[in-house]
Amino acid sequence: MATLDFDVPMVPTGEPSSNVGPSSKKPKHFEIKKWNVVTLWAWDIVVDNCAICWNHIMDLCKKFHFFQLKTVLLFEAFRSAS
Amino acid sequence: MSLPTKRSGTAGSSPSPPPPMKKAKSLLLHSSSSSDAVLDPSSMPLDDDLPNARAANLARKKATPPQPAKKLLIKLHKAKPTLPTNFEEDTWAKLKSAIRAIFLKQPNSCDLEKLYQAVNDLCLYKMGGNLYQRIEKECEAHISAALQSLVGQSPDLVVFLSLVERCWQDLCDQMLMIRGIALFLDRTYVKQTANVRSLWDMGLQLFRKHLSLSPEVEHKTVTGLLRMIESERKGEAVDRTLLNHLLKMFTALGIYAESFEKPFLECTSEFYAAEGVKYMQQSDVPDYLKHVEIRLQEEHERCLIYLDASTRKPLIATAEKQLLERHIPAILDKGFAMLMDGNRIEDLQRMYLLFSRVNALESLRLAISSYIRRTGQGIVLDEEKDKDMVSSLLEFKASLDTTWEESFSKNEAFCNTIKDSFEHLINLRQNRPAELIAKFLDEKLRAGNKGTSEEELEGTLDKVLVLFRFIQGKDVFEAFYKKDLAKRLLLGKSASIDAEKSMISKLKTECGSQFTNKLEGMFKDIELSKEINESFKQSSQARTKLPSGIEMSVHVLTTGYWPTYPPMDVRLPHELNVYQDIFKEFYLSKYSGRRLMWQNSLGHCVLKAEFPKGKKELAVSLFQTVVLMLFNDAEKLSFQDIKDSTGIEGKELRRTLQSLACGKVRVLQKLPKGRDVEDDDSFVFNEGFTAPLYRIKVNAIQLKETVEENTSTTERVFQDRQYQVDAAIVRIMKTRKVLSHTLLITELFQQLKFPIKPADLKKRIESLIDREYLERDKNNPQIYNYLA
Repeated sequence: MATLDFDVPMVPTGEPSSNVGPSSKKPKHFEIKKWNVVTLWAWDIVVDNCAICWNHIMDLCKKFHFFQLKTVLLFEAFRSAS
Repeated sequence: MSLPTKRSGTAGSSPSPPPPMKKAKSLLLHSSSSSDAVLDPSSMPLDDDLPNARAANLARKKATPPQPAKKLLIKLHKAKPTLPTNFEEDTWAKLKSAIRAIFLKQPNSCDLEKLYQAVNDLCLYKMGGNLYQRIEKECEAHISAALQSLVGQSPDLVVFLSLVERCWQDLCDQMLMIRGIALFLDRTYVKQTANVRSLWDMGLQLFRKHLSLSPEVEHKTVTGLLRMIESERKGEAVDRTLLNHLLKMFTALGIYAESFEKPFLECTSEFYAAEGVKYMQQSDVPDYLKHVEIRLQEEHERCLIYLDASTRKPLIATAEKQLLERHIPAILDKGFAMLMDGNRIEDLQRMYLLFSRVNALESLRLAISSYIRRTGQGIVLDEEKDKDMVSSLLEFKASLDTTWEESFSKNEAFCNTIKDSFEHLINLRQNRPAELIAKFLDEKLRAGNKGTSEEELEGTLDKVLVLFRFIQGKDVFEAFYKKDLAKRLLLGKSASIDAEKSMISKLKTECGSQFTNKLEGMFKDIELSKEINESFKQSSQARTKLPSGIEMSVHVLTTGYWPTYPPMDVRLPHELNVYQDIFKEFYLSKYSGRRLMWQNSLGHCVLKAEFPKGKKELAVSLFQTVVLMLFNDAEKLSFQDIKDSTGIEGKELRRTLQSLACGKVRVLQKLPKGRDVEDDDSFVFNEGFTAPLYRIKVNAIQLKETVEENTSTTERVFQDRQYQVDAAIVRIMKTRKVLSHTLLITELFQQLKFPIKPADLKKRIESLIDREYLERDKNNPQIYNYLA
């Protein structure tokens, strides 16, 4: 009985002590080792549809769209310069 | 004859030329006539000649040239030459007696040589005509008597037939003997006279005549023959030699076709009609066809053994008609499907061969078509067995091809039928077969499929391609194939890049480069991404700015090549943001005019995890990573806290948390426990986490396809079809320039390969009008004009 009484007061003292200890020493649970990323690239323009065939710029006639886009970009650059 | 010649020669030499010739002629005539008429007078000149000859010789020796010798006088015999009285009658009496003896099978006193000579003599004196008529009359009498003796004979048909055969055989023997005796008549009189039969033919004609005069005999003979043949058909042993002889008799008499063959074919028809009905009822189809085959073989043998060769064709045709032709529908209804289901190669081959004999291959072809469509329909429309649809179809097709090769002689029309039927059945259900074929291919091309060798895989791809060829909505296939291909490529799950490219090559061959253009672009993106990553690692940005510790790998994909992915916002941990920004700087410095759109739903990571009971390596999605990293700074987090911190939208977040706390691998613990994630739930780091393996995958739920995902893929296909509709409308209008609404709709339905509603077509037309490709005619709203 006396022993039990002795133990009971000790527990409250121990708890705060353990609380403080782990939090200060605790390592991170998770660490990122590898990251596989997927991204889509597209032309940096506002209008997404072809002015000629009205299809999405990345869809049909890709080569034509590419050529057209180069022209547009060149024009924009020229206008910016002037 | 020779003696008179000799004498006249001698006489001629001694006197002057002219006078001796005249005398010699006169002497010759006299001598010839005399010898023919009477034997005795001919011998007398012989006796006279000898002394005369000797006298001539003596005269020649004694006479001197200047003085003439004594003149010889030859007395002319005055008697006229005459045939013996009753020569013809007497001779005929002997012949008649002989003929009668032949017919009655009695011995004859006169030998054949003398009889032959008698005929010869009569012919020489122009008496052949009379002789022929007399012989004919005599033969007719006997032949008639012989046939009459058959009337009323034995009621037993076989015995009766034996009697007939004996009668015929006797006739042949008798006519041969008579012909032998009267051979000279055949060779002179018969040949020189028109419309006269040879003796043999005359005998046949007489037999035929009197046979027809005794209808009872002829009818009974035919009946007997038919009865015997029927007995043989029923499995009884019959005297085939007897049949052979009697049928040869009919042939020889020239009445085979009319008297026997015609009723025989009728009886055959009746017999096999009855048998066909009976056997069709009591036999299953394979046994019935075997029976038919046996019967046809039997009839063929019958022609070889005792029927006339000319009967074979109509006989076989009759049997085929009654056993086979009229039962074609019943045979097909009753047993065709069963044979096909059971892959009964031999039985089907027999069916094919028999059907080809009666021009029933068209019926068989239609039955094949119906069977394929019905069976295939069972495969395609049974939604509960979707998982096995493709493999079942492949097995079905392989089975059909084997049957076509081995049973149906690689018949060209049948091959086309199989193709048409397959195309029909596989398109009974919209989209789903295309989707399942794409999934089947995914299963074969994925890394787990190690059990198959390269050759086997190649063979499987070829077979699946055949099914693909039948699909009408190929764009649905492309969409699903592309989605699965994307996963294989992005997650590194392809078993073999060579196999992947081989498949693309096959699809390209099948559908053209436009169909596979994007798929090829996907491979190009993967390869290009490897190069970009290498460049990035070597770049100045990476070397100077990039923090160490995280191994970053980037796939840069071209928009439009890959399936459309829903954009997903997420707040990345700080360290990932740094990496992302640095890569972006690098990429845009290399490729100007571009922008990058991060596909967070496709990202995945490998984490090092520190658990009290051991360290682990976790393979997780990017979303899972973002969630887990929060627990480095907090013990317990509510659902709302996690949502606010990560920025992941609700549904996706629920799925992510479910995979982390409610699955087999529970890195986190959910409070309260349960299978579903609710708004009020909280989560804590799982201190007690333990697992047998070091490397653990926690992304099962993420990769699982959902019904919604499939539905959205299908809807995107329909969306893309709008472009095809638009292109078709523009193409038509560009050609026509001016066209009415009705005609435009009609032509569109012809050009477009996939089903579409008129209402949808109308929408596309309105859209094109808005975009100023078309305009409505000002005078008639139902007419469209094309605008350049």
